Amino acid sequence: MKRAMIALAGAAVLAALPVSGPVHAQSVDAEIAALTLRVQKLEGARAVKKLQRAFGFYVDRGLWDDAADLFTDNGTIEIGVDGVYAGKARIKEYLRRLHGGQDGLIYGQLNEWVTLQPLVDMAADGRSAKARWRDLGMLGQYKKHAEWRDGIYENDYVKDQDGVWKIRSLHLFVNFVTPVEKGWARLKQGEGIERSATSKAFPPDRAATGKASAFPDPQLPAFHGPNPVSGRTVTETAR
Amino acid sequence: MSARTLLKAALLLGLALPAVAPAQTDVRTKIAACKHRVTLLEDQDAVENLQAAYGYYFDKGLWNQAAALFSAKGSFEYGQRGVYFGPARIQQAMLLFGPQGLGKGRLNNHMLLQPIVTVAPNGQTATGRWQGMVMLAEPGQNGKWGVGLYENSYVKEGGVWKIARLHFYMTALTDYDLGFAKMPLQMEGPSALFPPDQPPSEVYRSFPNAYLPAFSYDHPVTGKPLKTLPMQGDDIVGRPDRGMDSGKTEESSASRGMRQQ
Repeated sequence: MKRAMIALAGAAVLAALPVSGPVHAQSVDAEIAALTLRVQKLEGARAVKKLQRAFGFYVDRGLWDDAADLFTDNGTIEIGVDGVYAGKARIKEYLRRLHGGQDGLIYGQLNEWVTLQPLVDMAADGRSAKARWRDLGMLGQYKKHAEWRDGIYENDYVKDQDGVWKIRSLHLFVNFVTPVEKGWARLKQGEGIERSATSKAFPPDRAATGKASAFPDPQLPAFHGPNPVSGRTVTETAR
Repeated sequence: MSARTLLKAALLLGLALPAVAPAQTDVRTKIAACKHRVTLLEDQDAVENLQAAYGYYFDKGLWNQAAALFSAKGSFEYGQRGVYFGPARIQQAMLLFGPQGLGKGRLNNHMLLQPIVTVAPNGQTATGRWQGMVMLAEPGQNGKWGVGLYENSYVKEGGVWKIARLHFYMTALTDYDLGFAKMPLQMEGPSALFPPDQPPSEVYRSFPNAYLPAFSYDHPVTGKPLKTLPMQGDDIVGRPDRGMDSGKTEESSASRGMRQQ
């Protein structure tokens, strides 16, 4: 009985092999490829978070070169109503001038670009991504002034030809910058945001995109992706 | 057939199958295990995105978009406002925070920070504890700072993660100018205009009372569940979860604080 079963099993395996062997190998390869892409996308999402958090840490302490080096060669930055600066050199100089023109911070300069709440969406091919982030800025100069800043980033990232994730575009929609002693609730229309002196003296490569609105007016930066449950595009705009 | 022929046959069989069959099963098992682990990582990312999206919608008064993130039986509970069930009721309840789209002079920032997302081993449910700083404004009033935490649960339905339960515990709220030490504010109670489907599931007061909601996740090192905690809720009006008489065995931080004043 036992022998018969072994013989039968052996025959079955032998009979099945010539057909299923190559097919199996092929589908195993396909499965591994699909799995590899999924892992690459997981890694990509983490790389994007690391990039944006690194940007925050560098700008916080005035490392303009390192901040600008996170961008692609044609990368762009846009903050509030300052307009668009394109390319690493321009980004670097804009950030430097925006913070007083020196490398690093000076005594008493407060410059915290707290970057929170990532909503990262990877492209299907795992080669690019978009993300929305929350900005909480604590800014100021000792004995002179201090501000709270509220904003939202909508940024674009790409895995460049060298295989390294970089920032393709960074757009910080500033909702308001307000003196700490005043707070946001006392802001009057038009007070929440203004074009920086840097942007006027060192004009951008392109004018600010879209219509700027700031608190107390409702501000709603467009969402890069659909509602994750309904799957539908978020079409609402600020009232 | 002698033992020898059997051995021969086995050897032959072994030679005929150049280690493919066992290796194939082995590879398949490994792929399946790997696939499961990858899915759980994707689930965790999806839950973090889901909750972040909720935050962005809720901040800007997109009640329709925020409510659409809940499962059909999903629940929404904010502070002491009580519990609302289902996307339609939840969307209406959110009007208590302002009109759709917020409108001029309203700030409704509810940050969603510091997530601990735990996906169940079967990948069908998850929990999340989040830190939630709050910045508020409404026309004609001073600004407010708040802070609280979320204990939420999630469910995967048809391959899509949805919010099964959202519970925001406001733990401190204050006037912008005066701050927590001088002017702690208490939470809103259940609305008379649009009453909740259920009263608050936990009765407590925010700062200066200390309250610590139970943890959805086990201690990551000791593995112990953190369900029995030192800071109790409020027994001034009785604890609904313990009957109206909560007894004298445990004194709440609320009554202790009041006794000391």
